Amino acid sequence: MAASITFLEDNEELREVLSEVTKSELGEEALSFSRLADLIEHRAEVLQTKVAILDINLGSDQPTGVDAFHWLKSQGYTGKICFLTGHGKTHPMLQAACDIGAEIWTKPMYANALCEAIRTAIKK
Amino acid sequence: MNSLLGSLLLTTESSVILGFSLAICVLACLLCISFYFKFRHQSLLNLSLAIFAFQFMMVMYDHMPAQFSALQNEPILKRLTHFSGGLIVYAFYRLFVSAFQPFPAFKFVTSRFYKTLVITALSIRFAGIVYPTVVLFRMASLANIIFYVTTLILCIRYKSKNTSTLMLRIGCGIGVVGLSVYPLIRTGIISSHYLWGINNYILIFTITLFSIFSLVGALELGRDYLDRAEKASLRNMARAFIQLRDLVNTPFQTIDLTVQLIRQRHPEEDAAIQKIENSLETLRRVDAALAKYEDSVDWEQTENFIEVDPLVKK
Repeated sequence: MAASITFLEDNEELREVLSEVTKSELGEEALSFSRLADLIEHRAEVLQTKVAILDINLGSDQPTGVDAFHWLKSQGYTGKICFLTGHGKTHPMLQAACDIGAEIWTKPMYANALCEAIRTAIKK
Repeated sequence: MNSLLGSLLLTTESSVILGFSLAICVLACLLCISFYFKFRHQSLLNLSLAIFAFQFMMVMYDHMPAQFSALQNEPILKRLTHFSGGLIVYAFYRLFVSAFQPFPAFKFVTSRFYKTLVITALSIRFAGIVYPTVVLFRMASLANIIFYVTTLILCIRYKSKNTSTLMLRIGCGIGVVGLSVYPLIRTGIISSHYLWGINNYILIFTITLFSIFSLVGALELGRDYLDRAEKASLRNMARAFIQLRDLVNTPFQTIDLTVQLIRQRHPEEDAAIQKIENSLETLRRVDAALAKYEDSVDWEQTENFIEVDPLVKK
């Protein structure tokens, strides 16, 4: 079964639990990566997914989720791209994400609300 | 004991005036120095130097007869008079350029012109110390008067909404008016029997007002600093709260999703899971309370206020 969700999140625990929850609650397989370089390495599988959920801050000295957004767009990604971030609305990185017109989901989301949002994004 | 300072010990009326003036000057001088060590603002140090120079000049003039040439047998006093005249020009110049920024240039009265004026006045004073002749004394007095008048024009020209600067402007303005009027009366250029009688009091009155305005200006400057420090500390606190929030949001999300998984896999643990969810609900309210500080954060500032163990990932 091909993966329908891409997660880009630098926190290992959250990455794992996101994959598990989407599998058990939505029955959807997910790809999960911690860095943009890994995302690029798995380009073919990533471009087949229907939704990409990106963290904005991927650690110091690392490309950000906004860079990942631009890369996905440049590769002709047709799925929905959302940011799942713990940063507040005035943070410069979040401002940059807003400027490119991406959808922002704010951590912490209720598990049910997050699953529902992912389900809706996959259907679109 | 004919001098005004000498009268401090003899007459009640002048003792009170002079004592009051000296007390104000000493208080203003000490306060400015102590504020300088606290706030490190150069104009505070220059202010105390100006008050000291003003007081020193008054002492010198107080002992000096009306005609400089009368000090034939007092070469040290002549040199000290030049020194005090030079010191006050230097002190007011330093005070003006440190407190009134940007320089309030007016027609030909530019920063360069003002500096040239000061250098000229100081050079004449230096020459006067080496060769204490009457000609140099008159030239030095003239240079000082031109400097005072220029400073007065600049004080009037300088615009600022700041109360501390306004006080310094008024203080400086009164100071230079007194300093320029005093030698005019003393040397007889302004001739009036009445003015001659109150001549020394003009200087005392001027230096007292200058010190009072300096005192108020220094206090206002201190208050400005404290206000700024308070605002900065509130901004730092807001930044610390937001950094804290950023750090906990990811683990928070992980816990929330993990609880969902446990509920699904172990439905019999519903009571225990409910307790965790109730606690998470409380934490959500804390998170929402911290989020209110976001608007106060200056994101340009790069300093981190929350020291995090390198092993703690966001």
